[in-house]
Amino acid sequence: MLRLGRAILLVIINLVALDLQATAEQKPDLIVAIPTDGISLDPDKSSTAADYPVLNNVFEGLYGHDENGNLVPLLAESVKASQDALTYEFALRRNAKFHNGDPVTAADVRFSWQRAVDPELRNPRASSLAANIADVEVIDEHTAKITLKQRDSAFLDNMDTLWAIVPKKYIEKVGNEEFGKHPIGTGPFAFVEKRQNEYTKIKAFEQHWGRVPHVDVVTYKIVPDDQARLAQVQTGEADLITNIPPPLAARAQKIQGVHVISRPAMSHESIQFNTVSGSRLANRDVRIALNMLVDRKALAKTVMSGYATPEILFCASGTTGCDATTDLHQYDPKAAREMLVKAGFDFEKPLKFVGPLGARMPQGKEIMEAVSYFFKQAGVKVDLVTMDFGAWLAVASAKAKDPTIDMCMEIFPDYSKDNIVRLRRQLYGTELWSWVADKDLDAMLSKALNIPDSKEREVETAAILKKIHDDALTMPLWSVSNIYLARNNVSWNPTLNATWPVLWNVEKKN
Amino acid sequence: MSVFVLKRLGQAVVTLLLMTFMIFGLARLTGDPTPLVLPAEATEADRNFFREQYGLDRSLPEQYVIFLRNVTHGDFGISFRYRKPAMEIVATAMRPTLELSAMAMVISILIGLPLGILAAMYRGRWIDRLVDLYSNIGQAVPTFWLGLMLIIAFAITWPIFPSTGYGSPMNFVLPSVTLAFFTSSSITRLTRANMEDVLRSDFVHMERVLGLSQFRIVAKHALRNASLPIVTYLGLQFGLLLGGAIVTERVFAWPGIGQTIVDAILNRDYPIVQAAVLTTALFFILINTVVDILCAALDPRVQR
Repeated sequence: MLRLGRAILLVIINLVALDLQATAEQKPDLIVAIPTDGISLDPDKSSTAADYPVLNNVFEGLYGHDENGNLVPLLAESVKASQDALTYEFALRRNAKFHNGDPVTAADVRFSWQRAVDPELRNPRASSLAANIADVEVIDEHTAKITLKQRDSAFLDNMDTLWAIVPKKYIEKVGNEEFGKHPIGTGPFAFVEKRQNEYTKIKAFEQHWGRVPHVDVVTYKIVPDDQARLAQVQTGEADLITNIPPPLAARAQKIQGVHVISRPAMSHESIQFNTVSGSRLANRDVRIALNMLVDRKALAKTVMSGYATPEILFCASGTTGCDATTDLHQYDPKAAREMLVKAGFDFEKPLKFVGPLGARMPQGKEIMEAVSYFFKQAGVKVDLVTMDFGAWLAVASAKAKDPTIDMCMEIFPDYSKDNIVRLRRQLYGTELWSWVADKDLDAMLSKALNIPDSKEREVETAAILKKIHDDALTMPLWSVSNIYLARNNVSWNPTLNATWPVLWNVEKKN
Repeated sequence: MSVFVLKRLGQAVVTLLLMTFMIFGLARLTGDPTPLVLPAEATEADRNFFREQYGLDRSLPEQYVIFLRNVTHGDFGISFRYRKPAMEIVATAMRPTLELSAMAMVISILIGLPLGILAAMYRGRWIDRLVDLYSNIGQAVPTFWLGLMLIIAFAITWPIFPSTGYGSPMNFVLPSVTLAFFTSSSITRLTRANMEDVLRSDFVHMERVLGLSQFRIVAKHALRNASLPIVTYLGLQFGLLLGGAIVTERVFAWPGIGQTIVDAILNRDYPIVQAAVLTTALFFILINTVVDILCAALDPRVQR
């Protein structure tokens, strides 16, 4: 009888111990409220930034970035680049797996390239990276050799945003459409389910090669209104909310139970001067004077509530060459007015200044109004035209720029610290987004893009940024910050990234 | 009666046809969707391909004819953003809006009708004044503000209901009360005005003389006579709720048709705009046709 009693007691103690262990090991779930739902779960069909919250957590590239924006190997362990930077040999991680348990092989890398440039899928982002790949050779199961058509200094940097590695066997088995509904990747999180405009769920992938998440299920709830998202985190219905406008973040600092997390977004806000088709700002002295009319530090402190880092150069904090300390165009409205008079500037004719309304350029309208105010103080008239985001996109990316527009507000992300690709896209004469006509700059940009060595390229990039500054080809404003609000039991160091950070390192105390 | 019904249905078809023309034209007036649909990295060739793929490079009359022909087969085209049939997106979004509108309508009727009747019955007394105050406030308060105040009061300060979202019965309370506040106040006013007229009429006076109870007079006779304009108004209001809950849907993150239409307009997703607006219009026209037929049944004089 005694023995039986002891045996029963032992069983009970073991069961309790097991249960306690399970409770201790059980990870908390995380609810993240975001303003816009993504459209595509297929990285080769994605055309909107709203897809990144899920795609960046479910898929990975061969290379990517750590929390500080440094280039690090992801699915690859290492890479050997040829001297001419046209060939890259990647050694894949042996322990990298897809969410269905299949190992990642060189055959998947080759397949991922073929799929990314498949004319049937019409991948909107193919032209930025995958289309420049001439071939992917399978050397052995864990080695892939990629040959480029042209040198691309941002090839490794752009991988995690523009080219995901997808599972060959799975897609060949289920087809593209099914893959788009039930995607499988290699990221720290695996896709669970999605209800359009309601929520998307992803779950921690315990066999991830190195970034096993600290939370279990992440639910992205779609809450378009800023105030409603704030209410969510206040009530605890959400643990973390995103896309907080700067004034709301400033107010939220006083709310109990939540804290603000802010991280530079490697995204740069600026005002473009039309020297492509417009003539009023062709004079360098006029452009310099306009730069001197605006007090960026005051604007960053007031309009952006301190959540912006004023930039001297046309770049975002943390990117290559963005470390100037000498500003040739310091705020001096009196000197600026004198320069304008000397340059024969026509004060009677207003400068036409266009920009977008809406959440995609936070505080855009307020910034434009503030800049116009600074101009008006010096007697420079401004015809301010704010338009809806779609109309602005059409104007800002028109092949033939409207000659009546003198200035255009812009925000542009850098996908990596090497910002040469963004500089080319925004400033090279024939690019859709460029408002600048400067043949010397075009030559410098072309040269920099073809430099294989990153250190040499940095030097050239710094020279480009200096030229843009010295000639006042644009009016740089600041680097913006990504702003999040989290409950006090949530801690997180988001990746320094313009698109969307991976959530693997979010910690939540129960 | 059947002639009347056929006439109304014929009018509904003509109205829908005119709506297709208007919606097609207005959608295209918003501008070129290409820069919004494609990412910043897209080349000119990508943009041209997109326009060709969706027939946007054809002339407007040609596009309209193709659109109209497809609509008669129930095909509203493929959404530029979702790359799925537009009607599929609209149908998914319509259900939450129908549910919310129906709930708001029920609450509005349950509040508005009794209050209106009470106010008419006790005209000039404190009940009448209180109801008058309620209907004035209901008409004046902006929906957006009311929604946020309800969230602050009943989700944050006293956490009784969820602040936003869709799915559970508790999620319905705050948004439907927000919508119902305005609708119920206008129903109250209309009911009160119509009931007042009827309660002052000769036949009601006769019924009182004959010794009928107040309840019987109001419930069985007066309400029926006052109901015609109320029923018409309820039909209009339901249609408005379907298309006009955009602000409420946004505040409460309700995944309904209002939010879908706004997103589609902002992103120049013509197929969804056309499908959503035409579907809402169809509902509106159907509801009003049914209301007209109901009114004709209640009062045959309407048929003339």
